[in-house]
Amino acid sequence: MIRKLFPPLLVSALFLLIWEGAVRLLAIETWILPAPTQIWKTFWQQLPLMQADIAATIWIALLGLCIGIVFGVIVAVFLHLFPMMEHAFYPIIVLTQNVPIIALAPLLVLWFGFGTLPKVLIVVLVCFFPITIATLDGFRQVDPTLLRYMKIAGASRLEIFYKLEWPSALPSFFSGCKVAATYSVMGAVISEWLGAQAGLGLMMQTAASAFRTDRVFVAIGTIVILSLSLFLLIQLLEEWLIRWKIKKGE
Amino acid sequence: MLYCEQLSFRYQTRQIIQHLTFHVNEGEFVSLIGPSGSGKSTLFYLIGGLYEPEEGTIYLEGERVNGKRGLIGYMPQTSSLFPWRTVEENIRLSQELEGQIDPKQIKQLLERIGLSSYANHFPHQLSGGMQQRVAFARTLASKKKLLCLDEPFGALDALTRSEMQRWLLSILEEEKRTVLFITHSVEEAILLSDRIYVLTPGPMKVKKEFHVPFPREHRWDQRGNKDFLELREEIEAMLLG
Repeated sequence: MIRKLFPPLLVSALFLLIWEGAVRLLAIETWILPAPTQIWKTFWQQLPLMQADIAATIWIALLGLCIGIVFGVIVAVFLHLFPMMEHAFYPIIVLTQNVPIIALAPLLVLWFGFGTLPKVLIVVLVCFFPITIATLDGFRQVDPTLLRYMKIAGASRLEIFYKLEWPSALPSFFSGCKVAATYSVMGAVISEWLGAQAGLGLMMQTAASAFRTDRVFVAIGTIVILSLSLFLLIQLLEEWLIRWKIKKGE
Repeated sequence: MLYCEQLSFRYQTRQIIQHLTFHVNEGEFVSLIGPSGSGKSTLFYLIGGLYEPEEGTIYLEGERVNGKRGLIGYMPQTSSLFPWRTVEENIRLSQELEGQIDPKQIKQLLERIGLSSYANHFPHQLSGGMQQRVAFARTLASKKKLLCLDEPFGALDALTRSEMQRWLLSILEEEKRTVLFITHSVEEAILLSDRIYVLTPGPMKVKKEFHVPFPREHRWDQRGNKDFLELREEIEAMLLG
């Protein structure tokens, strides 16, 4: 574990060192690029004031992620069980991802106002896609030998689904969830740019317009920590649920 | 028990099986032997109802079963265990699909395959031979009378393979079942079967039928005998020629 963590930690430390050195040697103004030590100081100053913002962003990200997971799985299962539907809807689903969220967001505000609903919708929109695609992929990768066994044994369509297809798609589903988890915080922040009472997105905007670059970096850092925590949470859940998976090197 | 009459099957434009006729009596162990890729697995898919024959009829216990699924016990060549199920849950699967779970029988089967202490292990924690024993126990756990085994020991190393053959002989002495067995090992076929069909490839047909004259209980020791070797040579010559 320590051995695995050492190289990335070393690289990060080196990067921060060069950053700090450059800012000091070249006397770069704080409003252009603050030094890491400065950001660290601001972080601890801001932390008590940021709690409402952090809570607001987490709430939107989590709510959107949960709805996105449920919606994503429902869409994947539906498309898988009705291949005709997959044919008709798959291109449209891919298309929804080509519409830039930034462009879509003002429309959602126009339709649903400035409340929680349009913000959660944005998160759902960015989250369901990786889950649907990954889960569908998992369904397609079912071992043909096992499928033949099930069919010859006389298993019904439903039995084939929940005894074979669903469990074998589970690892793919979790891969989708991990991508979605990282997207969810980003989606929440973007949604807050459109107008919010609180949130890290709002904090970022206010700080940027006041040239408080150090606070922008504090917001960015917090967003990274949130994304990473969500990612790890899902990873833990996966490891606990998929104990049967062949571990590397075993 | 099983009677296949004039079966023909083509996959796209390739004729795989042509006018194939053979039968298996109740309680008999019959081997189908032929070169790899001669369509033996496809024959099992037909009997299992995965595909429908182009021509001909499959009778199981006197009933026409073309395209009907859920009537035979089937065991594929490669490990077909479900990786997320433990050994015990894998054996239970065949009973789950039949809607009747008999925990006592599963326990007995675990004992019989010598894997009682592995009941809660996952398949990837077992060796290849152990995995095939579990897959065979799963086939035995079903109530099906006809067991179709598709080269069950084909992927095992030579030593494990002969160990498994001996093990299968001993199991079948206790548990009388009707078995249709695919193999491309002549020795394996003579060792295990009552009758052997030698098949020709592309399209698949019966070339010759052999009765194995040696009594089952002594076969293991008779492997090196003159008669045994002669039969083996005769079948091998037929396969090559």
